[in-house]
Amino acid sequence: MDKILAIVPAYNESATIELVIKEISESVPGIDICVIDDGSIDDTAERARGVGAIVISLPFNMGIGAAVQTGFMYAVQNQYNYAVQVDADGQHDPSYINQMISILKQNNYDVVSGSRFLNKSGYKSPWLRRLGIKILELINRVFIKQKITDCTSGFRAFNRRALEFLAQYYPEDYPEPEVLIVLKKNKFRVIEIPVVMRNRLGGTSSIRGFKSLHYMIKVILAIIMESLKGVKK
Amino acid sequence: MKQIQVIALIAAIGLLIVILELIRRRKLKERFALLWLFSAIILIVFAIWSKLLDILAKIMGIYYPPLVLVPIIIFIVIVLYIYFSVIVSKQSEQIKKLAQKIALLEEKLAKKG
Repeated sequence: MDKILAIVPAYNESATIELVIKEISESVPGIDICVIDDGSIDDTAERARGVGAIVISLPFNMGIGAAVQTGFMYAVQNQYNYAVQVDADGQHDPSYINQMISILKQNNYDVVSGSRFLNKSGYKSPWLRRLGIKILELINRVFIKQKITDCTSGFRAFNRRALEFLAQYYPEDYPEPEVLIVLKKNKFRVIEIPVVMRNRLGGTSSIRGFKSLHYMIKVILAIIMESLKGVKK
Repeated sequence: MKQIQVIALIAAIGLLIVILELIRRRKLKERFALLWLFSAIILIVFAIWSKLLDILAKIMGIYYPPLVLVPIIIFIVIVLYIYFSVIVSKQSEQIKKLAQKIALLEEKLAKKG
């Protein structure tokens, strides 16, 4: 029987964490859920523990990259075969996890990434946002020579080989887009599947309005810088 | 020796003594002090051998020899800055690893206890 771990990075998500954990364990029977409490000052850790999750509390806020990597380290140390990263704010619908894991089990891919934009149907974003998405898509096409429609997605599943690698090296500043470059450089096989993401149940997006332009420029810079770094291993 | 040379020499030797004293009191690790020691020695060389400024000025095409010191000092400061940025980056990586390991161990302990 394959061991599967859900990695849920959480920073002050006490409003939604219990619901997210319950949903995951209902959608995927037998899955273990590991919440990485990234120095929360609310009761995220207690609530997560209360509904049966494994909780790893970082001693101070270290950012999403370090938090997710801690989850990878836990998965490797405890011999999990697969791990899936799920946001703590309820945006990611855990009913896709089974599909992601079954793709990994066929062993043609090492990483499965949920994309909001692969399917045209579903939610229509404002044109400025769509432009941004197109630009990022183009940048990715140049740097990793693969069509990636949603490079900032944090809804991803990994096999053991990818987990072992990422436990050693995972980017910090904009980990989701950057890690695609790292994975590609090291010949990991990545595939996107269409997912519908929900409106977040709590909290607000960290990226809004004018900030999104700023975010995009920094992401592009990070992608370029990451692709200039030497091959790790 | 000109008056300015004496002053420069005293200042440079003073800097050298401060660095050596910090190392002796274990407030400065040798590893970090190496560049500082090197800088102090360069300053001493310039103070004693004043002709060096004229020679360098000629090579660099600078009309007024004392101005040679400006690019040299800027260069030293930039090198030190980059050096320290590299050290800070390395340490932040080490701190991250430490924090992650502590968090994982804590969870392991809690499970046993």
